[in-house]
Amino acid sequence: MIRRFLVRPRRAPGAALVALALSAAWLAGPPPVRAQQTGTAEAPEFRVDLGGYGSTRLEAIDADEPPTSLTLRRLVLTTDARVGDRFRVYTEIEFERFGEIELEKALERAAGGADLEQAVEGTGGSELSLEQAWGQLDLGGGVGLRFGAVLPPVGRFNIHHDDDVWNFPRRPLIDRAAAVLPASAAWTEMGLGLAGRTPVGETGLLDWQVYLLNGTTLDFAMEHKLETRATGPSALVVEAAVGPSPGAVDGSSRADAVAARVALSPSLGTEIGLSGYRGRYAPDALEDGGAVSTLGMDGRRRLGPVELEGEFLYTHYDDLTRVLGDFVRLLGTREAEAAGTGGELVTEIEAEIGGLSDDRYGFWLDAGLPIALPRGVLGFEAPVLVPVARYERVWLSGDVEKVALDAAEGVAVGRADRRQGRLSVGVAFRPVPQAVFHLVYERNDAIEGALLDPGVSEGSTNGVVFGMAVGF
Amino acid sequence: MGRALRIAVRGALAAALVGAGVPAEPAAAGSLSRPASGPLPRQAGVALPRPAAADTSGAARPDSGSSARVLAKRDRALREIFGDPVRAVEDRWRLTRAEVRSIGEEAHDAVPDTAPVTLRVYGEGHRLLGYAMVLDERGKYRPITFLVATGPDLAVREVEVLVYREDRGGEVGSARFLRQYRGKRASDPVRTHRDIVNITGATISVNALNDGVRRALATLGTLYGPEGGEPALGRRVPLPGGG
Repeated sequence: MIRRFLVRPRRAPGAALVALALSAAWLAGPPPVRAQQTGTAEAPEFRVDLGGYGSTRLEAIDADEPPTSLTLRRLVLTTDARVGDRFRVYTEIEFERFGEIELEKALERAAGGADLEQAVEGTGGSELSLEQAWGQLDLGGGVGLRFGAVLPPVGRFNIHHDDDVWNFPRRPLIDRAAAVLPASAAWTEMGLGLAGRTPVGETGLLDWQVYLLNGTTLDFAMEHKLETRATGPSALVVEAAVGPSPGAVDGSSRADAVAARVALSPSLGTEIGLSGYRGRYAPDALEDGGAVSTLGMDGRRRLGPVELEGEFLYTHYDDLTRVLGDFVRLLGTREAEAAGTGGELVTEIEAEIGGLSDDRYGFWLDAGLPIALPRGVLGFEAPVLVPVARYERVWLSGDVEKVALDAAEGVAVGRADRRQGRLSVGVAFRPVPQAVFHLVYERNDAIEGALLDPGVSEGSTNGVVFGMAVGF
Repeated sequence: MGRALRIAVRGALAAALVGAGVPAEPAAAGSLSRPASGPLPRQAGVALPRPAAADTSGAARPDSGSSARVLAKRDRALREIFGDPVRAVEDRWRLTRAEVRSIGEEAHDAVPDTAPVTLRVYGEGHRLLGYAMVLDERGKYRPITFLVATGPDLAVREVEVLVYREDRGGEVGSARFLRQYRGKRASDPVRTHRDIVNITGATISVNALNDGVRRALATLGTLYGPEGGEPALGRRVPLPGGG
């Protein structure tokens, strides 16, 4: 349900009246269908729209993992504020697979000292993140200066990632599960740039964005595991998951990356976009850093009643072996300091590498045939049924599986080439424009190496996904 | 079907002329006109015609100054669409239940406007150039104010967005999108995935314009006859004075 806050700064007679007005606006609920009936006050110089989108799904595949399960995939809450005629602030806060995160801390007296306790409780896979937070000043002529946490304009999915926009319940491999993007979509970076739209002729439109970014870097996430064994010692495992991550937002990383996209739409329903990204991926702690470069080509086209949409991405990591070696050597030094054994509990250090290859590339191609159903079907005014098909493939050339340090501090990088294809066929039903139900059959084939997604040992999987996505 | 009632005619001359099925003179109340060149004058002591939608919506409140802004944009749009010189005569209606039902069925509109305001647009020599309506349709968050202009045959001549208040989906105001509506008639679907190409990410705004265009065509067809043309006394346009 849409709630509107309509605020008139400097005109409100007092805080109490503002609070009263906000409460009334909240209680009033959404505006009626016909604008003439609203009579709602509006201060065009300041307003805030609250909205969001979310998606859920039920998926079942013919493999042991993951189990047939219902997933609250994500809930994203958005605010869109107009601060004066030419300034806008937009934010997205994402709750991904989010159930609960709870932090407990306690300090208690104990005999001869004190007990300090800190515990984090939560549901598995939960993630809370700031997906976008930027302000934009309209410079005129369709050009805006944008500053903040932005979506790097690489490919078309990352910048149009709202779940309710798509007719498939799962994001493409190259944008998410086997990301060819330098970071999985929705990929967010601190950025400063320009975005513009320029009409071209009577029917054309040129859409462009260019940003200076902090850029993705190799980063680690510390994971703790307690492995209990009936016989032998149990283990407390500290695992450092190493891979590319979006740049920091705390000012600790260099702003040395750039991203840009130019898209030409010669007519409605047709667009072709070219995009690119280049930045240093080695963390600042390493003196010599390699660069990661991504090129993208994307587009959409109508062929009669059929709507086609697709994206191709190619990413190359320079000097990957050397950078990884330096990075693991750096981690290894720290790990050695933390390692140790005590009694029956063994502390182990592991490092897991993911998302890094010399070259990563792939594509997805969607086809949909929207059918406007007669009015009144299931009681909806303008329902639409869309038979859909998607084929996607991803290549990981020289994908890093393992990095090891030998006694002489030499680096051995284990690599493998991996390829996966995925076919998705199904239907999407839109009872209203901003809500969609999907029912899709998915087949995954490991063409070379093991499957990337889902991460199972089988060479292929068949599955069914039923999903719902809603924007509000 | 009962006769529609016009409830407001401003100015005796305009009332007499309109009631007789003759376009009002340039200086008459209830009409807008302009000299051969220069901006459209605001008639002294006479309010410019106000679109019904703008009267009561948050988009164009009389006290906010935005109503005048909408009107200025409307007048400019009419000049761009129909050319110079142009004169518009405003008809205010109170519809009968039968007419409301008819419009609702034809436009697939659950809440048709019961008191629409329409414009007859004339060129030189009192030649009827067409009709127009200003509508407000709700976008995702806010109303979109736009003008639907038709020729005398009630086929859409142009649709122009006067005020777009959303931060997203503004492409519905672009010429390349709006040109899709040219030539549409009440008998056309005017729906995405049928005869209107959608804009990804602006579907709600696109549907709002579709709904408004359908409603305008149904309303104009009901009030001026399915074939359009010059309104004749005793046919669709009522006697002056709300009779």
